[in-house]
Amino acid sequence: MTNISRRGLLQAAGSLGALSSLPLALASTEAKQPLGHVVVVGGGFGGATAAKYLKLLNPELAVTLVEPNETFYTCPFSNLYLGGIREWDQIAHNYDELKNDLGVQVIHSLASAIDTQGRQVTLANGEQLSYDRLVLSPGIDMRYDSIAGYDEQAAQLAPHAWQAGEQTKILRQQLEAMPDGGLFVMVAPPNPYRCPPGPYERVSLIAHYFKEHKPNSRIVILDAKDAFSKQGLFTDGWQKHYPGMIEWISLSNDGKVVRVDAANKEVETEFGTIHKADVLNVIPPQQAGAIARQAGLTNASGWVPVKPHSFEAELAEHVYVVGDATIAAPMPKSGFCANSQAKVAAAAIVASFAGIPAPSPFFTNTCYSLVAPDYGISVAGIYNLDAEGNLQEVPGSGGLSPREADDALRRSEAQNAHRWYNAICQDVWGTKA
Amino acid sequence: MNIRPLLFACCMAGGWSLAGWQQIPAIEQLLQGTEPQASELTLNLPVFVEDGAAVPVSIQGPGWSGAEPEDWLTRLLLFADGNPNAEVLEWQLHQPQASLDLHSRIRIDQSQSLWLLSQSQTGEWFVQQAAIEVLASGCLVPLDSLDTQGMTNPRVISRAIDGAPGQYQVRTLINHPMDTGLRQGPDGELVPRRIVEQLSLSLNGEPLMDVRLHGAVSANPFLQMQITGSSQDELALLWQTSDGQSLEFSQTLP
Ligand SMILES: Cc1cc2nc3c(=O)[nH]c(=O)nc-3n(C[C@H](O)[C@H](O)[C@H](O)COP(=O)(O)OP(=O)(O)OC[C@H]3O[C@@H](n4cnc5c(N)ncnc54)[C@H](O)[C@@H]3O)c2cc1C
Repeated sequence: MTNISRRGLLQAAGSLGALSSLPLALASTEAKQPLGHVVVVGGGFGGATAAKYLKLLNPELAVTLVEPNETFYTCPFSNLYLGGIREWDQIAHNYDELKNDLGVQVIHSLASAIDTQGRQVTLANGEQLSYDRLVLSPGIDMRYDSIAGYDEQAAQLAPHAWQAGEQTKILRQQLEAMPDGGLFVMVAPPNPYRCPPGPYERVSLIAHYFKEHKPNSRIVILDAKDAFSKQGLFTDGWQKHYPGMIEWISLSNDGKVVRVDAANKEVETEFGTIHKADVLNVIPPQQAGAIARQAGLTNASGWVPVKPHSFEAELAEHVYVVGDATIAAPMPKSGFCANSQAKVAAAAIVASFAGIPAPSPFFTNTCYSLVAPDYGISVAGIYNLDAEGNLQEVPGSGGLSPREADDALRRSEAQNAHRWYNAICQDVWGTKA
Repeated sequence: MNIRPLLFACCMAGGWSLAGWQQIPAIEQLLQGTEPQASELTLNLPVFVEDGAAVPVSIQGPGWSGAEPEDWLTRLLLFADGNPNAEVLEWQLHQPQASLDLHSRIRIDQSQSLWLLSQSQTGEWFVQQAAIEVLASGCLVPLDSLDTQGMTNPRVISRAIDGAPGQYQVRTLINHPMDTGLRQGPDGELVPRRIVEQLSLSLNGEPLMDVRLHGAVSANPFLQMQITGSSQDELALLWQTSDGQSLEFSQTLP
């Protein structure tokens, strides 16, 4: 377990850049009475980062994290588990660093209601928490009403596996039980959704598993879109590693699924084509986690509008929302973005307690995807605010892996993907995978 | 809050209308000085999109604007005030429809308002508006449609609507690049404008509906509508392009 020294703390704050304009005195005054109480709901990429950086930036704050699970399984690298190249406990993380080293009070319960007027959070275990500031990073919920026949029960038979946990295990067991020569069908969602390249990385690594263990099997992607993230790079990689195995059917070629019969592993498209699968992975349209909707923080889109400067919710005061639940395009819904946004929100909260304006933010993101264990591709971007205060990708900052590249470059990107995973998990939970 | 009864009440009183369409020359020209009333139709768009290449849009509501037989809606026109050309789609109805349920997918290249103008047989105009935010630039042309020259793969599915006797849903899609004339090809030259301009529907040989498409309709135009018909009726569809191609398709209603 990491022991965070004062020097490490300042380095951490310094490396944020966004925070460098905060007076360092904030972090060095001796604590007596807590300066205020911040409740963080959700211990995933956004929430755990927020809790940690609030304490790092100002140990005088009392910070409570509410998260039902004692172990967090990451969606990032869950595709490697599905592909048989990573073990289940290698994507598991816990809250020991927050509890033991940073003095965050961690309550393993679900927030069942939020009263933004009275600044109260009610927990499923009956407890009531009052807050001065609230951070929410509840992630996503499936829109179970959007594809006929696809509900929570259906997801037991045709898993989405878009929240890592039981769902991911069901999908892996089904893949293992599938005979050679079987058909894996993925239903891919419309924008916006969690992790734009995620479905295509999943298909790649399942193809890898088939190639090794069930070489006569096939994969069909039924997509509600006409284009997808890193499309050229993925299709090049599929051509090279899994020729003939993967078929992508776009929206305009009747790829949109309108009905699911999970018991028979059958789906129907909008023009009436029936696809029968051996293993069916339905990733439905999504929305902000239920608690954000309950708290009245979402607009008609089902997502949470935020002020890009601080990630404070537009629809309530003293509430900050980060991660997948927010409307933050052009930033993608990624773990890296959630982490980056959480640091900006933490800095804004610390600044608000100090009575000074929030520092001007910038955000970073890199999404690595593995097409095969030794074949990685990536897309990166840096984001800040434009003259009108809206989020923008810093012109010229982004980058995509080149279309033409040798094996050595793809291999080094695959290694970087592992380094990225280890680094971000260390940053968020203080754990090594 | 449900604002539809409110809109309806105001519209009945005749003293209320939306402002903003006056800035759009194409609408001014259409109305020729007539003041439109607030429409009872709903115009549905996502609040925001990340990709403006295929934005779902739909129009729902009664096919009549009032209680008289001649109050049925004969024309609906959709405009986008921030697109290079404001015109998006036009529906001409040749037979009265009890309820309207029209869907398409359109190109929206920046945050803006959409305007729906509808006209009853008596000549009265109605207006409706909806706003959309585009958070990342769109107008991607899907990779696999770049090379297609003409119309291919007409897809049509019609089905009886549960609980609405005599009502059918007709859904159509045809593969075509819908080149606006504003896009550069791989050689740096502008790709000439070439679009699907019209889809005509008829039932048992009687004209039912003509849909006029503009460059703002997405590649591989998708059109869905509700029609009045009966089982075994013969539905015929005819697509026509700006460069003189046409494609016919017919289907018996289930
Ligand atoms: C297959 C896949 C691959 C991915 N790969 C990558 C990748 O390589 N890189 C990358 O950056 N991103 C990746 N992502 C995206 C990443 O997983 C998400 O963007 C990230 O998890 C978002 O963080 P978050 O904090 O918003 O939500 P989450 O990490 O999902 O955390 C939400 C937490 O809130 C808790 N919670 C929800 N409601 C309540 C409540 N009412 N009370 C208390 N707690 C609550 C949940 O239990 C959960 O722990 C991938 C996603 C998938 C599905």
